[in-house]
Amino acid sequence: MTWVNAIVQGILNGGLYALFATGLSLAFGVMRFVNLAHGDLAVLSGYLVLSWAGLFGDNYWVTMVFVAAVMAGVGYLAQRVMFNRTLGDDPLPGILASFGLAIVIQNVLLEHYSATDKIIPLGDIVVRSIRITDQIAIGWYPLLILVVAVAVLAALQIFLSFTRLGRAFRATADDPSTAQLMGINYRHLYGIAMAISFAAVALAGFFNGARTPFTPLTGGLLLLFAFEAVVIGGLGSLWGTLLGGIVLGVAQSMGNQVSVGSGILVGHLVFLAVLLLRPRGLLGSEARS
Amino acid sequence: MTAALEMDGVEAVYGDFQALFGVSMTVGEGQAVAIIGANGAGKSTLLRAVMGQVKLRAGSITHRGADLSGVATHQRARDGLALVPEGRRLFPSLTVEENLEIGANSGRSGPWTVSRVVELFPLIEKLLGRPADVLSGGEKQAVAIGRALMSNPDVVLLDEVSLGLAPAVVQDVYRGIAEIRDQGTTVVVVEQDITLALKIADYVYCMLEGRVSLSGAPTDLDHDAVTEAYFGVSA
Repeated sequence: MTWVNAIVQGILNGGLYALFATGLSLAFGVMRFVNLAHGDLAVLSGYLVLSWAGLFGDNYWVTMVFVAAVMAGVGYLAQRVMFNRTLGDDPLPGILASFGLAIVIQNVLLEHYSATDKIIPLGDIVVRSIRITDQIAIGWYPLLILVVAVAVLAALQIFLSFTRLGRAFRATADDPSTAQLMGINYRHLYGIAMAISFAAVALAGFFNGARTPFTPLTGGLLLLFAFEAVVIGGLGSLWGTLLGGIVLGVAQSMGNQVSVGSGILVGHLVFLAVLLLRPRGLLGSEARS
Repeated sequence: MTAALEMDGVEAVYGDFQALFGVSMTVGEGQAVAIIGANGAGKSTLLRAVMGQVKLRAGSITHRGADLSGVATHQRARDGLALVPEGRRLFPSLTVEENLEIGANSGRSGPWTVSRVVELFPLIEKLLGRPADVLSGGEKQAVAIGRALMSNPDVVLLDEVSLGLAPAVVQDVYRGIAEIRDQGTTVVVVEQDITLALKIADYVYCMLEGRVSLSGAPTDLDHDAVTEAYFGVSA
């Protein structure tokens, strides 16, 4: 039964990893862009929720929506002003620019908030759970995160499959140069993709920040989890991201079941195994020629 | 009368390699112009320069009197220029119908709709729901032309449309192009097949090593002159 519990908890944790990975996966899928500041943006969002909650009568949920909207705007601007200038056949300038942004965010946060850890105080929803059997309990909060992750992915899927803008996203992901011949302004479109990516990572930063204490330097580990979920699931595959998050979550909780504290290591090992045996990820398709 | 497209002293380079040397051409409204020439003559580069996908080092291109310098590719498409690129370049993760619909992304109004494109190329009808990457070469070419028409352009540029297609399919594609021309849309065809080009065009430019080597109405051009302009050697 304890193993079943470990799997259940792993699946629930996978929801958070999937939410972290969604923005990374979208940016890679549409623009072939790897944003190394992704984890730090999540941490930044956590701090913004703490700082701005006063504006909304300490209602952290409402503040989260506001922060996600602000981050969407910041994402659009970051893409238009900075990342679009790094686009080209060589991915290195984009990686370096986002790495630079990560360092700037970390240092500004350290300067402003100090290195003391913080947590977003959401109250007892974070610890309440539904007891299924003596050994299995499902936490309301991880369940909520999983539901939000699935909802975000489903909304993105509907957007990409059934809207005019979504179709332009898919065409641009296929062939940006021909997409321009269709009157698609890829610079604007990339800005929208990054806005969605930033908003999604703001949600992830909020949910994580209410569950686990964070400091200005937490972003690196969050980026690693998001990256592992994306690679395990399959680069650029939306539902692969959910699967990748869940596989990572289950691997970690099974690892902890064997030996407390070894969960993260087992997660990394599964990630390496997938890279070795199935480099395109579990649901990844053939690379674009 | 303002020309639909006017190129004046166009020069373009790829890195160290100069592809176009002072190319000048005039394409009148509603005209069908063919640009012929051997592989590497600079024909495709010229079309890409018209769409803003290749930067000019010198010279200018105007569309209905408006200078295109500094105008982004997507804006040129919205302004009524459409390119059927070499190799068709359909979007593989979109269905055939979606490939056509995305052609209308420019937001220009006009007679072209999916059903009108299906009328022009009836073979497309049964393919609408299929992914674009499973089609044959001829089917892809028909969809690529349809996709360009969906933007209701006033000038359609077609790059190497007959390349790699079976003769019967080429006939079908050219019948479609003739119909587009007959409806008053300006057509510029880049073609290696001289006979095909001369059949459809009101005016022909021959290119050789990045320069215009000959031009004239098909009826005014004699066979030997065309051969010399095309290959760079006398027949």
